[in-house]
This record gives sequence, structure tokens and C-alpha cells, in this order.
Amino acid sequence: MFLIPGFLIALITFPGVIVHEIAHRFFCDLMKVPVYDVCYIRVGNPAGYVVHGPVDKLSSAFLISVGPFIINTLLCSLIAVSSVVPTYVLGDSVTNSGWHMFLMYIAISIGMHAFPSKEDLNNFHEQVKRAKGFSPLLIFSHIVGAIFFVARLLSFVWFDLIYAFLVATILPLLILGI
Amino acid sequence: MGDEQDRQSAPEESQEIYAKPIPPHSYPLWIKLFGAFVGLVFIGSLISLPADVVAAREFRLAQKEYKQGRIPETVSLCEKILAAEPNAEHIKVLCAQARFALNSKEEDLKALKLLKGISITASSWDELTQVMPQGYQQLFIESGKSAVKLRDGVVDQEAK
Repeated sequence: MFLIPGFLIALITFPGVIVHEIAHRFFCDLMKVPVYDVCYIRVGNPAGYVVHGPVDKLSSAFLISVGPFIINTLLCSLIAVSSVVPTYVLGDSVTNSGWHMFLMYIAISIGMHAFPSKEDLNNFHEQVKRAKGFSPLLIFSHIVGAIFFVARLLSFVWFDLIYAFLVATILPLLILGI
Repeated sequence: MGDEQDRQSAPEESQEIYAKPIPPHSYPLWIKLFGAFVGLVFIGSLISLPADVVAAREFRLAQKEYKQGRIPETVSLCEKILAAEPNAEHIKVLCAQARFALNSKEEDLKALKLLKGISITASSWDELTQVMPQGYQQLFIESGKSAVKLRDGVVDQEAK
């Protein structure tokens, strides 16, 4: 498989890293979890981070981990839609082609950083393990955690890029019913 | 990103930083500007969307009309879309296909004009050749991988 250093991918797709960290921070604030330090983008691994205090509720942990995934996925799809319809459906590669390429770059960059990072995922798994009792959210969290884990493994075969591409191209057309 | 991992990778002076949480919903100016930029990109992207969605829906309708054998309706629908989206190659190909299906020299020439400068994919070519007269098929040359295009100057020659 073609390997490119992670920091380089993060630099190229920096809009996605920033959006992911903003969403992470936003959901921490929303769940009233104290945030101590934020790095929205940097050259290094991880490319961005949010240092937050302990999360005492599973629902909060769920939102803090899944929130950025939802935000990045939605933004990817919404930004790509106006490029996908003329280019892929109508076959117009001439009109506003530069603008459409720019939109696709932003959309794919954001989509590629939808999945939680390794650290996010570890935190989430810890939280799920610590949760007591039995609730639909716990079952759902287990399922989501497993999906994210598989996605993380598959990132070696560029699954994050494949996911972003699918979200950017297929999802808008399904939503619009075209 | 995670708590423990991030504490490890954060700078030395972080002990001091961690003593006091950052006020909620307070973002640096550049992040606010970045957010505004993404918002503007999103709004900008929506400007042409309604017209494109209408065209795409009409294109799907035209494809259905063609499959159901309503050729003149397909042509008029395609022409309507092309008036709004003059560079939409998929519409041009469907319109040309419908015009060839009308079986007239005049319509054939209009179809050839539509295909001028377009790189036709293998799947579209297969559909086109079902209705395009044999003589015209020789006017197309290979263009890249599994695509064909009309030879330059052919339309003018045929019009004569």
C-alpha cells in the first residue's frame, strides 16, 4: 500500500483537522466538560488535540467522540453537493471547474477527518468499559465503537479517503433523490 | 484527541495550563475567521445548487422518457436543460442519442454538432451506436482510455 506520513496528510487536509478539533471542543463545551488545552492544527502527531477533564457520563463521552464524526460527515456532504451535481450528474467539467475542484478539496479534507483519532477512540472505549448497567445507549456505543475501531484499522488502506469520497459523492445524490 | 495521550504530547508548561480550564465557547480569532471562511464557502456553494438540482432532475426525467421511447419529448427536455447548462456533456450525449433515434439527416447533423469536442465514455458510446448510423461511427476516433471523440472538422464537412 502507498504510504504517506500522517503529518503530511494532516497538513494537506488541514481544514478537516481544524473542523474536527473545533467540533471536539464544541461538544466538550456543550456537555460542560472542562477543556484545558486545545491545538487546532500543528505539524506533528497528533495534528490537533483537545485536552479535557474527565467525562462522567456515557452520553457526554458518546457526543464528544461521535459529534465530530457527524459534523465532519455532514459538512463534507453539504459542501460537495454543489460540485457533485454539475460534474458527475450533468457532466459539466468546464463551468466553474476551479471552484468545483476547490469545493471538492475542502469537502474531502473535512470528510477524511470524520473518524475519531486513536486517542479519541481509546478514551471512548474506556468510557464505554466503565459504564455500568444496561441501556440502549451502551449497546449503541459498543456498536459505534466497533465500527470506529474497524475504520481506524482500515485507514491503512486509505479507508478515511474512501469514506470521504463516498460521503462527498453518493450521500448528496441520495439526499437529493437524483 | 485523548486526555492522557495529549497530556504526554503537550508542552512542559502544561501543568500551569491545566490548572485552569479555558472559558467555554471562547475561540481564538483565527478560528472564528476560519469558521466564517468555511461558512462562506458553504453559502457560496449553494448559489448555483438549486438550478443544478433542477437540471439534474430533468436529466433523470429525460433518461426515463428516452427509455420509454418518447424521443421528441426527450429532445425537447434535453434542449431545455442545455439552454441553462450549455456545458453539460451527459445531457448533450443523451440529446444526440435521441436525435439519432429520430432517423433524419437533419437530426443526425444536429446530433453530431452536439457531440463535437466531447470525450464519450465506453458505456455512452455503446448506447449511442445502437441508434447512430454506421457511416457516422467511423467519424469518431479513440480519445484516451476507453473513450472516443468526433474527429475535428467533421461536422462542417457533413453539413456541406
